[in-house]
Amino acid sequence: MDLLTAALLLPLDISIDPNSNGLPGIGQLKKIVGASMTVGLVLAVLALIISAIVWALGANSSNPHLAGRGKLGALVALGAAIVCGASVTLVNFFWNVGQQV
Amino acid sequence: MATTTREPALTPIKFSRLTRRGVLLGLSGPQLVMASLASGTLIIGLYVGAVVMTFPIILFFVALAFVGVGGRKLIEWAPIGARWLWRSAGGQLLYRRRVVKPRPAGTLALPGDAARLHQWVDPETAAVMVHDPHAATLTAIVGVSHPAFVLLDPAEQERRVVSWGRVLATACRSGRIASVQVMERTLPDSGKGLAEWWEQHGNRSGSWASTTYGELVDRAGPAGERHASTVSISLDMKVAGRAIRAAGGGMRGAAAVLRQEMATMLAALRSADLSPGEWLTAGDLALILRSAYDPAVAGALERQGDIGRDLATAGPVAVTESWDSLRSDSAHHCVLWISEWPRSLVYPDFLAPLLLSSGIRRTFTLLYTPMRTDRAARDIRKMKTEYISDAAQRQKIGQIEDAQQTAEYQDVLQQEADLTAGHGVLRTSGFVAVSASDPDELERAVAAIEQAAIQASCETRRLWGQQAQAFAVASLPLCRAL
Repeated sequence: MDLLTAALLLPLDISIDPNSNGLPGIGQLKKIVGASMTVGLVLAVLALIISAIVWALGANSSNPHLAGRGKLGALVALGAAIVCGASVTLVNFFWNVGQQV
Repeated sequence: MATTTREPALTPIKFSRLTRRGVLLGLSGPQLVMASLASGTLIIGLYVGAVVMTFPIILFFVALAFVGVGGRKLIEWAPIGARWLWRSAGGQLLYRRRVVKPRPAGTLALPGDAARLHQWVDPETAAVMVHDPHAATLTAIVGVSHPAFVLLDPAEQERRVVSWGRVLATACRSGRIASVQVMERTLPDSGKGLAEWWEQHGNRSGSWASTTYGELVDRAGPAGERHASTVSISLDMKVAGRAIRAAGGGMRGAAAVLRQEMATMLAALRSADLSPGEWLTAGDLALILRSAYDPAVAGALERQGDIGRDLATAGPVAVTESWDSLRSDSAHHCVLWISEWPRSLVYPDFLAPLLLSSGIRRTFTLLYTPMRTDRAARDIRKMKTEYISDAAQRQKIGQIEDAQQTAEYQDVLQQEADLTAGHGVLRTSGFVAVSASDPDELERAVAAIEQAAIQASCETRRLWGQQAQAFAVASLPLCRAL
């Protein structure tokens, strides 16, 4: 009994690090997310191409609405590619900020 | 409303601005390419995971796109600089005539890209026609004398402006004309004519008036200068191909087609109260070319009247081009481009300060390039689309609307209204070539011309790095395009 209470009174020192062997499938999950990054980049390129086509159509058929949509699409595709690529760096940065607390 | 008869007066006019519209987010094409390269480098850096390594490259691209020097961004200087480097590496900044080696028969002895020009003397009118085989144009030149415009009453001035507008509209409607050039050059005048006239007809009674008049003639004589104007029309041989074939094909057919255009032009000029002279012969053209490159002998050649009238030798002996000026036989030249026409309402005689500046040898050139009506309409439609979509985008991302952009859009609308009303659309470029005998004097003359242009509410820019080509445009009446 004395031993048990003594053990409970000791201060707890918890230290948890992210690990990749606590659950099955972590490595596979990383692979899947990495693949989705590539998918995001490919889709951004596709969106850029489609936006360019829409923009050209709008400009040549005197349709300001279509042309405006195309321009916006081009910008959004570019932004998406940047965000996709920067996601790991951003999450790591904020993880490190969280670790300082 | 229509029954009220007002005193006809001069109508002030406004020119369209030089468009500064960007493709996307207000960036021009080259700037956009640089910005895309910068963002592409950033994306690649992010995916590879070496984003800090790419920062110098990104900084380089951004600097190229956004750092402005002399009214242009760095990337817009790149083509000019590259061409300049290419030409200086190839030794193309210097031209020295090979005196011993004869030139091919029928070519004009001009340097640079004007070297390919051929002369063709038209047997019917004895006029010289200048053929550019690369651009497929054939050019004829007529000398024009004009009565003073400033001294007329407003109604008469208005009538002349309208009829000059009709001359240009004629050029537009024909569809076969590649460009029309109006050139106004100052020639040094020895004042001999003035002094002789005073000798013969002067009434030297010793009265106060005659004494004053005599003194004035003595003082004004040597400083006199004549103004000579020419109008050149240039036939587009590709567009007029069918008509040329119908007229017998080849140079003969082209000359026949150009003769029709010349006749039309002469009639239009006469109806505008301008008195066109004869079509220039080979000798007259040789004299103009010679005096453009070698102003020192121009007066002597004028007086002699029969030497220096051979086109085969009427070119410069030496031309040296530098980044900001050009030196030919006996003079230094500098070419300015009128980059901005008046943006406020001006009367048709707004160019007077520039054209009547005395004591400076200069050549003023207006190059009109007619645009086909359907093409002009399509261009205008495209521009309208761009302006509207840009405005919508600016509103979407919360940018404010610049007065500049609104004004440019109004210009486009005005052009469309004019085009629908049956007018033609002409691209107008203005050039001023200033000549002086030494570099310091040249700089002073250029400063004076720039001031005169400001008085005429135009903006001028020196054509850095393109002086030799621009000189051929500005001071030779050959409808060259820059």
